[in-house]
Amino acid sequence: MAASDAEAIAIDIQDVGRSFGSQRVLDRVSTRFMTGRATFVVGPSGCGKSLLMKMLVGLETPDSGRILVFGKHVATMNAAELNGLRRRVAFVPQHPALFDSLTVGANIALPLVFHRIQDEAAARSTAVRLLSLFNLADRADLLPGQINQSDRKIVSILRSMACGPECLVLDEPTTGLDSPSRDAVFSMIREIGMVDSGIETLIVVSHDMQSTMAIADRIVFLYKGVVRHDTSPAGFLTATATDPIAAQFLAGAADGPMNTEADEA
Amino acid sequence: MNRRVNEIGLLIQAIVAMTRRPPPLRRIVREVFSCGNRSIVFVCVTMAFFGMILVYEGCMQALALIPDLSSAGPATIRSTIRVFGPLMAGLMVSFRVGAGIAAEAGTMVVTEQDGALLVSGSSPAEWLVAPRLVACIIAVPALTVVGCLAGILAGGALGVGWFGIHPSDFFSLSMVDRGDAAVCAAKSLLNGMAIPVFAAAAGLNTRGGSEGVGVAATSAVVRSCVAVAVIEFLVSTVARVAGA
Repeated sequence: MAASDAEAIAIDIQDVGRSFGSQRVLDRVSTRFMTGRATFVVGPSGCGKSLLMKMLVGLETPDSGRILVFGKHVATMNAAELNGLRRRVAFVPQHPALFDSLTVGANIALPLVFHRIQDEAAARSTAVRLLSLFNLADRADLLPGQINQSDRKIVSILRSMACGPECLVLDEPTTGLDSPSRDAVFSMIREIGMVDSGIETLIVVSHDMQSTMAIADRIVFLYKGVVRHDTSPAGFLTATATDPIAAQFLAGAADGPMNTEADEA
Repeated sequence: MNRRVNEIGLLIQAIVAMTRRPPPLRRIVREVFSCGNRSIVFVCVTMAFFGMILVYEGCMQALALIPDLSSAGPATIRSTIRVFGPLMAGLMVSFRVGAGIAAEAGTMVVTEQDGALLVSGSSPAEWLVAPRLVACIIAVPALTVVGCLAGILAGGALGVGWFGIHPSDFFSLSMVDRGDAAVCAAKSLLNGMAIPVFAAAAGLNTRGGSEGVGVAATSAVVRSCVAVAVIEFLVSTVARVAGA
């Protein structure tokens, strides 16, 4: 995504912490997601990335700290305010989470109907228009079970884009996909910034460092519930020279200090 | 999702969701058909055997004490309408439908569809519970009536055929009054409300993967059955106190 000159804070995460029993999953995490930027949140499995993303739309709550989205404290929002927030900040879960009994078009139309933005017929037209942006208009009448995994992921992303959000949060959009499917999804993510989607802020949780380095404007590296690096792709590359953990993660190496620390823990 | 779903909260959410946006008629019809169609044979067969057991044991005991079977039929009809019909129909629907609702809700949790619903401006209470709540409020009383008829007819066949009771004596409604019908209606309506809510709550509290869904389905059946038994006891007690 192209960086805008008038960059503003879309999401401000301040000292956020969260524990499950005795396990501290997030520990005083602070970072900011700016408008006009594609920020990739990376880190090994279990470091709290998905949990943090769910907190942005109020699906999870922090034990401590606060999250301000467009200047408003998420934890204090009532149901109506949360609904409003979820129109502006769209969240795409790790699984496509499509409803098997509804067609692809009806799945995409769902939030437009639920948020009372359009009636069913208009929402259906919007769904077909969105699908046609990614050459998938012919899938509109198929059931989710009749399309392949990468198309399901893309449909899931399109569903979250249906209401015209300003910010899109993608939680590991390529999980469980083979290499060509991963490329298809990342190619779509690249295109989001180019099509007339209105999305100003993109936040992606990813394990795929190759695509991350190619697309991201900024990288937040979470490790053991703590922000270890919050920098540009070039800055992250530089950091790997002095940080063996970041270096191991970037290389995707099986052996290294991450394993040693895990064994010690 | 990090919050535990409780049954009362889920019921309130479903009712609020229905007042905001009633479930589409085609979904209610589909759910009524699904709930009724999946349970009707099961309810009828079980109630038929239950009715025959009731008549057989009742008549055998009556013969041992007083050799008069004239009240066997009316007593069977009354106890079927007042107690066993709603109880057995409620339990059968819990077995047949409760596990299915919990498995669907549990799968929604495992595949993150519950979160997808919330970010789409809906909720599991609106999407999953509300249509099934309406469907069960319609289907469970209907199944109870059909089950009562099956039990009474099968018991009557045994009473008339085996014990030689005259059909007009057996099928007499002399012991049944409006209060019995009201108790039956109240129990079956409350069962219709409780079963989908308890089952969905068990499913929405699923933790883990497919194993969690299995645990949730079992838990849904147990909780729904206990709820049906509690409703049976409470309504019977309140009805007696109220003189019904």
